[in-house]
Amino acid sequence: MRDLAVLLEGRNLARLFEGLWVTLRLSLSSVLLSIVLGIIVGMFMTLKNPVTRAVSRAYLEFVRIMPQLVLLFLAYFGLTRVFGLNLSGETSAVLVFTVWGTAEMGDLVRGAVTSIPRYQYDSAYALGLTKIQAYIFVIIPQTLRRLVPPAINLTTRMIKTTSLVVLIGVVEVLKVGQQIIEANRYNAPGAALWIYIVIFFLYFLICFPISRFGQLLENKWRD
Amino acid sequence: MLLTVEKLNKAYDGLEVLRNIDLSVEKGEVIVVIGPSGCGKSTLLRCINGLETIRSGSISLNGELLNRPKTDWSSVRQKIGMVFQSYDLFGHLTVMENLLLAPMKVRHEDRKTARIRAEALLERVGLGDKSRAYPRQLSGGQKQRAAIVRALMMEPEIMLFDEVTAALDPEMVREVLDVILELARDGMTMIIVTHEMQFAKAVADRVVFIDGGEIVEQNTPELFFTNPDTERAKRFLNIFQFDTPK
Amino acid sequence: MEWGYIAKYTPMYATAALLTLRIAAVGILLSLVVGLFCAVVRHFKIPILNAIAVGYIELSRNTPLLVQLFLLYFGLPKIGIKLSGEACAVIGLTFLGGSYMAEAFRSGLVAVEKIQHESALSLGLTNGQTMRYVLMPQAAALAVPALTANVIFLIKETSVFSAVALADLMYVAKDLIGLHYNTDEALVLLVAFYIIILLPISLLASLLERRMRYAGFGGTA
Repeated sequence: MRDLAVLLEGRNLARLFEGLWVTLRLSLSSVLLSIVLGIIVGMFMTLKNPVTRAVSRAYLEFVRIMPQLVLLFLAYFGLTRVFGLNLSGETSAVLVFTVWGTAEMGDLVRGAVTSIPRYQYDSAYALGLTKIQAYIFVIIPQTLRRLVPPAINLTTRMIKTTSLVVLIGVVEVLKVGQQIIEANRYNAPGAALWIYIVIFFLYFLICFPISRFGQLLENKWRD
Repeated sequence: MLLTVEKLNKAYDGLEVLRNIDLSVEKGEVIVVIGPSGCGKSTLLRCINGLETIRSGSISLNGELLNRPKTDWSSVRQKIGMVFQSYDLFGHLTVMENLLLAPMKVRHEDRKTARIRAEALLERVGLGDKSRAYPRQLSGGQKQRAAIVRALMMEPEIMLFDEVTAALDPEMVREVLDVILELARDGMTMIIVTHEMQFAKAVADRVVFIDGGEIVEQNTPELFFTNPDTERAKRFLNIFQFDTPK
Repeated sequence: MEWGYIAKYTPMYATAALLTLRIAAVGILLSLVVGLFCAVVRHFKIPILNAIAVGYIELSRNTPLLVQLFLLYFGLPKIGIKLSGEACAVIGLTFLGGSYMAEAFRSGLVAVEKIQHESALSLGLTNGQTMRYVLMPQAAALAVPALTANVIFLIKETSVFSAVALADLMYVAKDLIGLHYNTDEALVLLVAFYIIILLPISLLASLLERRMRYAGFGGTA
């Protein structure tokens, strides 16, 4: 118990939460940017033009096939070299996660838009709705129902993936945990176990309610 | 008596679906159960086969009580063949593999003898050339004939048919009903739930009319379809009559 | 970019890639076993085991692999459980992958019509036989797209293994960047090797998915 008590000493617990806030700030900024850009890119992906198709396809496939950590390395170490840009770890992280999230979100938007069957448009027009009315009352509400649950799922993926930024030197919750462990190496040698358990459950306590909420929406809106 | 159902009651979440059902079936008898949708006729078949638990009453086969806590349903179900509305052939197996699965795994029959029986039965229902086909390559009528053969492979003492033609295109109904008619001629004991009134008239030894979860009338097909005893049966049969417009 | 360096470093990357692939293979196989077990337990709602499976799946899906690895590699030794980096990697990947595979199998099982279960029972098959001969083969076929997506996901996740001191691709890249400042060559090789590993699997996955969608059992496509 001595080892667990380390967390309650000084500002240790507060620092851990500050670290967690860094994680959340990075992932939520990336999610928000991804949603906005993803909607635009998703619309772009539905175009029937072969060139735009090829471009968006290549973008999506490359981002999807590369581990996020590799993308982080490319941004953090590579951009410095190629463009002389010296990005901080945090900026690289938001950049990479947004590039990745935009691809995923774009694909979700594309899937949601193209999955609305033709007859939904036809029957809206047949009822005398104008094109704009059809979109506002029929098409967009249905698209959103297909879009929101996977977008929520993307949020939890983003939060989990953000844990990787510790590997490019960003001081977030894991890093703070390591620092506390280091600082107390002699007076609380067993602290590592407890601190990592606490961090494990902190992630769980954040992600679990979000995934639950996503699941509930998905079950409710399943057609 | 081959099958006896006494005072059977069944409820879903407090909602009664079958009330005080008494029904006995003799060996070789063909019972046709008719009634409006949702009247409980399919549930009755499912209770007999142990797919639904009952609230009270008894079901016995050859005098042996079925609804006991320790019923060996696997061995009971071998004696009771059942064919469902649709989609019940195993999609990942060919017709022949569908027929062989239960004989080999449940009765531990060897492949060769089971195969010989299967081929003969397939030939009889006109599917001699389909043994290697997968279900998705068959028409609805062919699937249902194969499903009947699959049930027959277990050499059941009684067959239950649960609206086996309800999901079929009209032109395929006949080929399936013909198979059932032939089984009746061979003396197979059957309980048939159907909406096909002409067929019911032709095949039934006895018609059981269920409405609102209870047996309202049991009668010979001749009397039931021309002059039923009960007002409710009359009303039900009227649904199928159209007056010529004047 | 110097081609000389590329040639010099390629064997190091190849060795690292083999390590990644070996651990991924073991972890994925174990994930399939764990996933299948959990899916069956959840399908039949076996008491106690079902609750454990649900708890495990939620814990595994809502925490990052990196944190799971830190706990295994740096946390457990404090209570006397010392695992090698490789063992941690395999356990971590299985802990993560098991829940994803379980959900894939389960969605397959849900997609098999209920009537398939009932007609198997009505032929006298037991619940176990029904699962083995009727439900699982169909569920597994339906789950193929989800299962292959999980395989790709898990191979990508292996990129964090360098955090527990495994000499995988990331580890080699980091080493070259940090010690020798050959950043360009290190990054190009890193990307190239992940493409070599993942592109064929990804292509195979989309091929399988198309086959499953248009053909299935007895199809002609």
